[in-house]
Amino acid sequence: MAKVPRNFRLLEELEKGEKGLGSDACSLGLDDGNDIMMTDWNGTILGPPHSVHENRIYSVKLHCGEQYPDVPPTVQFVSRINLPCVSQEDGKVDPTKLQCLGNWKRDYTMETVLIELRRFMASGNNKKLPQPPEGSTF
Amino acid sequence: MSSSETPKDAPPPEQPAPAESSSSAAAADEPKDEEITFTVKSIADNKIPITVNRFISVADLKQKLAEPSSIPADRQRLIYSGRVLKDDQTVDSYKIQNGHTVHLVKGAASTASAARGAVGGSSASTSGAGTAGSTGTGGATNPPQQLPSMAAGTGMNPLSRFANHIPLPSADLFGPDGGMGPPPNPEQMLSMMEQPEVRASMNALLQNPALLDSLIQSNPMLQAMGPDARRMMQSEEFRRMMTDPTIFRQMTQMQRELGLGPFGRGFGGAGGASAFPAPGVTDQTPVEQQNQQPAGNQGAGSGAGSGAGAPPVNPFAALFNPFGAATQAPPNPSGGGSPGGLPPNPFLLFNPAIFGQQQPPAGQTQTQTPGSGGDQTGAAPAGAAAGGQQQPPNPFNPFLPPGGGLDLNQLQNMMQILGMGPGGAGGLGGFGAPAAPADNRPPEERYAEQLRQLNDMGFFDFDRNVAALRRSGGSVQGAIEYLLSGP
Repeated sequence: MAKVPRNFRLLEELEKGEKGLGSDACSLGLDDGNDIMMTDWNGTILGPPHSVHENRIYSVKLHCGEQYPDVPPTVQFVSRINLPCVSQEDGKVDPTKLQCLGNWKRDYTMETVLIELRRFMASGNNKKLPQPPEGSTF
Repeated sequence: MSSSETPKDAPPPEQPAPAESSSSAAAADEPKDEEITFTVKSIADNKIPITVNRFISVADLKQKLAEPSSIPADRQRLIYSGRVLKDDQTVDSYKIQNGHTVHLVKGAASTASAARGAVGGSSASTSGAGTAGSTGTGGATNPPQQLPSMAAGTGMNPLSRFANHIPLPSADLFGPDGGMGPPPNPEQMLSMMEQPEVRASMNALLQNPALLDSLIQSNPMLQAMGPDARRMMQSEEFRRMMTDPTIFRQMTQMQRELGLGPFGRGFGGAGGASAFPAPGVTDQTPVEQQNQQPAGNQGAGSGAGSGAGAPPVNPFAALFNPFGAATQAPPNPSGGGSPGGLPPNPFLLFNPAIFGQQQPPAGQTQTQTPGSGGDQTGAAPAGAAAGGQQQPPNPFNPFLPPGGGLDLNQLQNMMQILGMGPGGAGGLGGFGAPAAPADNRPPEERYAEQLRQLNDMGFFDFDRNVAALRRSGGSVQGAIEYLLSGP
């Protein structure tokens, strides 16, 4: 099985994000369109319905290092959120607390991560956690 | 093999993309098409193709989208490439390309704009700060003000519920037939009580004086009580009893011990989860005790509050329900409505007891009710007589009737749970006695014949059979129906 090189992978993900081919609940794009290395990304997650996150939009930053997709991207929330896997200091997502980051597989994408985060928000107690005011940032 | 294929697939996006990014860099300098065409993907996969001048602002774009998307501009949130588009930026500044897709989401009107300002990065952007003011003092700085609006978003606004005069519990509790189905069993009630939402909304309800007023106004019996009703409902005890699942659990337990007799079903019918044991027979006792004894008080109240779904499906229920008596008393204004059609308002169930205290006619007619029931006449007079004598204007008054008809042994379980003094026990004599004869027999003994029949028919699950028989009041036919339709 051939390995898709990093840049091809990221270009695929970029196209998916810009053309809206992926999930409606998440969006993804390059932070700087001129960044040839495609390292820094923005993502948004629509708060899942029937939870405290409903109608909220969460912004995250994703950083794809040179090893991506062999190693997972680092994810950091820009919007303040109260979630067990998110550091309340700086909004960084603790990879050990999010299944898809902890057990990263090469064919996971950034979208996988965003969708997983969204599912995490909607799960069990997380959907009831008191949240900081909408719009506040880390 | 596939290694040669992958690059083959990949190059098309790969080649143009660097070119794209460089072109977009270059495009800033070069003259380019003023018009761009892209797709706006709205909720429910509604795709809106739109062609705009690339230098219009996002706010203008939203105006254009208001009609095709049928979302007002101030509630639109546009997302592109992981970014929330800000009103004061131009479409061009986000480097939206021909053929790309922008997501359109409907947000809450004012908080949406607050978020729009802040989520995009510069939290103090003009649009964000401007509209946030309408939510409170700047949505971004005041958490306590934000939280209620979140609750409202999830349908927990107690006011909106109350607008229907069906404050609690939620409609689905009443079943598809509007509440005439079987009462929810104690476990269901318990699990409902344990849900924080339910508790929270009950609490919210009880804490809101406006709601209480309206509730009292809507209920003639509470009206008759005057200020006492309000005082009682506002008391900490009452609120606790309405919302504390552990108390409910206690009451359920008590009911199990009490309600084993053939009339257990009757109690259940009247009291929903049966936590409100035989209001008719005990007359005002439960409430009286409630007011003195936190445990009894809260338990009965929560039974009443949460047991609203329970209709008097069992004929006995009518006997035990003071409303049965109340309907016989012509002057009673509220009696007519409640016993037949089940009140959606849980407080109505709670009221019978109050009513018994407050209205002498009801207390007196109750002496007739058990009599008409036939079987339990022997025990009834004690309770009924007590009811007749006792007309305290204040529900918090201690209830200390003469201890006639008291059987301490039979009431022992109950008293332990209630933590009741001997004085109060007198009042219980009324309802302890009728249920007592069969009270202490275990179900396998009491339902031996029925269980045997059920077994013959192939229903082997003892627990379920007993549960079904209890529901049906010992009727095999009813039990089978329950078993076949049951969970």
